[in-house]
Amino acid sequence: MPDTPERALFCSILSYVSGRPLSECEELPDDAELNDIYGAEAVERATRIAEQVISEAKSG
Amino acid sequence: MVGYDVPDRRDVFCEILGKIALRSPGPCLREAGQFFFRNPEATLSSKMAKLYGYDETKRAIELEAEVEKAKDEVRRSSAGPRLTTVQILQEIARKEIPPVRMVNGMEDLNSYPSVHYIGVGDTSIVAESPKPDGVVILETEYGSFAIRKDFVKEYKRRFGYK
Repeated sequence: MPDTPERALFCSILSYVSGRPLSECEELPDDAELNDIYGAEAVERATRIAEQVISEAKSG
Repeated sequence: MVGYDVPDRRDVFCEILGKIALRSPGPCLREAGQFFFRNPEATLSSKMAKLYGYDETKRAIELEAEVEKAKDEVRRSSAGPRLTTVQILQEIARKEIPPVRMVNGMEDLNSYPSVHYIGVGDTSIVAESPKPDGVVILETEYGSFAIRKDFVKEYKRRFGYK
């Protein structure tokens, strides 16, 4: 998930899914570090859902 | 939340709804009670749907359900994040597990007057005793409870948390 205005949505989902603090996502641009902190599966699932939401928002 | 920077279910739902409807999540956050959107029929016949659109609200409910499913699966996964005791207790509060189902781990809160609160949520206050007495405090909409740490360990084991 690149650093875009949609990152707020991604970070919100990632923080909720993982139970880890939101601020760490917002402050870390490096996705590899996100994997370390939030867990690769949480990052992957949050990315997929955020991309789905963004895709539907753009097409809707 | 104070002292604990994790969005709640309503925050996530409103972020999704705002994005889907190309609107600010602000009105959603003001309209949505803590568990408001968990009743899709009520939500879809509410001011929420009038503000954001029926189809958009319906889709946001579906996508939020996917987030909830992902949360449950990730937290049970070996690749998931390691949860702290406080996070586990917040999870218990979020799951709205009534006290009657927590009988094995509960004590009377009044037995432990010297507790130190470290976080406040919308429906839960989670605290950890500063003393190494093996007790943590969970306050939910159902009331306040002191919980033995061995119960937390048992909860983690039973539900597959690390």
